[in-house]
Amino acid sequence: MTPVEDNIIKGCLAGNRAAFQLLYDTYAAKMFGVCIRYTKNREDAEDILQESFVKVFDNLKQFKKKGSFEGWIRKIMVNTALYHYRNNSNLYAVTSIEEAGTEVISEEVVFSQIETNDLLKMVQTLPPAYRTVFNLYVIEGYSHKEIAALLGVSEGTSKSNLSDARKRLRKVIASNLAITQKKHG
Amino acid sequence: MKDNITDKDLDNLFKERFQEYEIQPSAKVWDSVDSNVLQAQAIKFKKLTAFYKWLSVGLGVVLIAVTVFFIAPKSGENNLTTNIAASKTGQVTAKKETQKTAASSSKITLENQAELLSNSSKQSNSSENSAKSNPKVAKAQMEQDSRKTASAFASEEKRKLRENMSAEITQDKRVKVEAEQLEKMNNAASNSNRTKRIDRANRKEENRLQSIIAAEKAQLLYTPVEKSEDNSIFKITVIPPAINATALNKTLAIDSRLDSANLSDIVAAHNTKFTARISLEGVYSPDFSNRFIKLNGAFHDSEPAKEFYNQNESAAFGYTTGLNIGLDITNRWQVRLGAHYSVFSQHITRNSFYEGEFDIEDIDQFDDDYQSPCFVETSIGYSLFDCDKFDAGKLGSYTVKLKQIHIPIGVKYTILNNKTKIYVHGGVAANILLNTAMVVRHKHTGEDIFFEDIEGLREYYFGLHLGAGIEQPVFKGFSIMAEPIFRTAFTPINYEYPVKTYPYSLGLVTGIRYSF
Repeated sequence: MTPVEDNIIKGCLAGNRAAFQLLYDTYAAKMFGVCIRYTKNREDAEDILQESFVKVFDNLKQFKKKGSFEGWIRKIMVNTALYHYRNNSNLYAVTSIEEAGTEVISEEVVFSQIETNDLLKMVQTLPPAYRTVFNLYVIEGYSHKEIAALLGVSEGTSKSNLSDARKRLRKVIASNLAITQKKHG
Repeated sequence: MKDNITDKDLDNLFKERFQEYEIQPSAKVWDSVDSNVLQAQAIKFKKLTAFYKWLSVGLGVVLIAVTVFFIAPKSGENNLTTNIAASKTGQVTAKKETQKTAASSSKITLENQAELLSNSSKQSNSSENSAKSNPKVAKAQMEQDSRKTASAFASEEKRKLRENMSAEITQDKRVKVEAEQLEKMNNAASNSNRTKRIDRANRKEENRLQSIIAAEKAQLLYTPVEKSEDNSIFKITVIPPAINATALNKTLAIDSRLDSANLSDIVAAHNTKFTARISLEGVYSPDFSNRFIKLNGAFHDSEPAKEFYNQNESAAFGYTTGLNIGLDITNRWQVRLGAHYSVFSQHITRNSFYEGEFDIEDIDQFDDDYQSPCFVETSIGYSLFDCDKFDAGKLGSYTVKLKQIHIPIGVKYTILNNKTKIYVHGGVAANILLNTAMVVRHKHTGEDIFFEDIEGLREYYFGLHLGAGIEQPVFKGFSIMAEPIFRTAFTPINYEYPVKTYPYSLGLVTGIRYSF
């Protein structure tokens, strides 16, 4: 933990509002980048971000300064997102698998041409179950066993959701590529 | 060249792009956070204020109970007051008879004195007649008669004086006892303003009567028996009991005024005040605890959460132990205040644990001490914890424990008031969580882990309790008791949570009671 973080935490614990704002300004953009991957739109992500920061402030005294402060905040963001997923969506419903296309796409072209914001939109268009499993597995690094326990589904469902998420993403990427190639003649 | 994109490449694409991805939220987020934090601080302050308010109410009740206990008359006085009420009519009759007797005695004494003096005069006249025939014999006879008469008169008067003095002293004692009884009755009636006024008047009157009685007594005791210079005539000053009669009249007047204050009401009121005994109880209760769940209307679609909790949670054994202080209002009613330490328990299955292992190489936010975050979710609250510090991966069930201070206040009514007592009881209780944490105990290892950042857990909640009981005396002042009891919360233990959770328990209170 850096001295700056330490000072911010001390200021927050002392009830200093300026310290609250500094903490928020420091981490808001990065954490919003986490939250937005778990939601279908910006508004929902802002709800999670807002709720998570309130939790951060409420539970700041429980932060043990041994670990990473940013990691602690990120953990709260992810878990708040999961909590919302569990309580505000079809928690235990298994989304039907939609057959995706099997387009063959060029890796070099796609990777260079697709913007990060486009990738984000692709993730956001996934059904909640696919999106959550994809985020947890690919970005956060969870195993299928862990995801199954986390979401209350079987490992098979987790694998199936991930597979379907990949298929959908490939399809969307292919469409994106086709449009890009058309534009460039 | 065209290649099929592999899963790994696809994953890496998203992982690299999103690893350090940043995007600015709108300004309204900070406004909302800011207002929520301020509101949370205000709520915390309000909760703290409410907590101290209830604490002060509790302390106030204890203070009043203790104060009443110490200022209330003892049970013996209660009996005396009851006896006074019961025998009041008899006393008044006795007083009247005493007065009548005293007046009669006075009259007799004066009549006897007159008769004796008359006899003495007659004898003197007779002696004069004899003296006319034989002056010497007549004179001697006259002197002899005079001595006899004087001696008889003196003996008679001394006897009557002793009787009178004895009667007066007995009467004085009676008046004094009556005065004390009046004083106690007045004490019993001290809560009534009307009686207070009478009390003051009575006390004043009583003091005056005591003075009169004392003066009268002194006069009786020290009034000398006078003789004439030639010892031929004895003059005995007899204090008629008129003064005592006056005193009795005034005493009766006081009784009359007490009558107007409705003495029976005063005594009845006295008997319903805190006049009886205080008792101390040490209790222990094994509890079979569980919780009710209601959906929180503020959350939409929280039914799955409720189902999840119901599938993964079940009842468990906890316990309650502590002290009760009881105050007997009457022979049947008692007020009880307790201070208990209680552990509410709840079984949860491992399905409530979500385990995860973060790859430190990929995500360097987690240090070595906290690289295996786990997530536990129960109907009470949810929290993150470190899997490495707790072997959550093992199959089996776990026990959630909430440690709390349980402060019940209630009443007890004795149905069967024999040596063995049977009673019912009930009341309300404040439950203060010792910390807003949840303790989970591993079923096999017995290891405890504290979840210190439970979301949505209140610092306190309120409940009620109902039960019955049996009490059996075993030794001087000591008795043992057993009470089946049902405790339940009527305010939820959590807030801002998909469900509202109300803990309840069935217990069997066993304890020892000592009555002072």
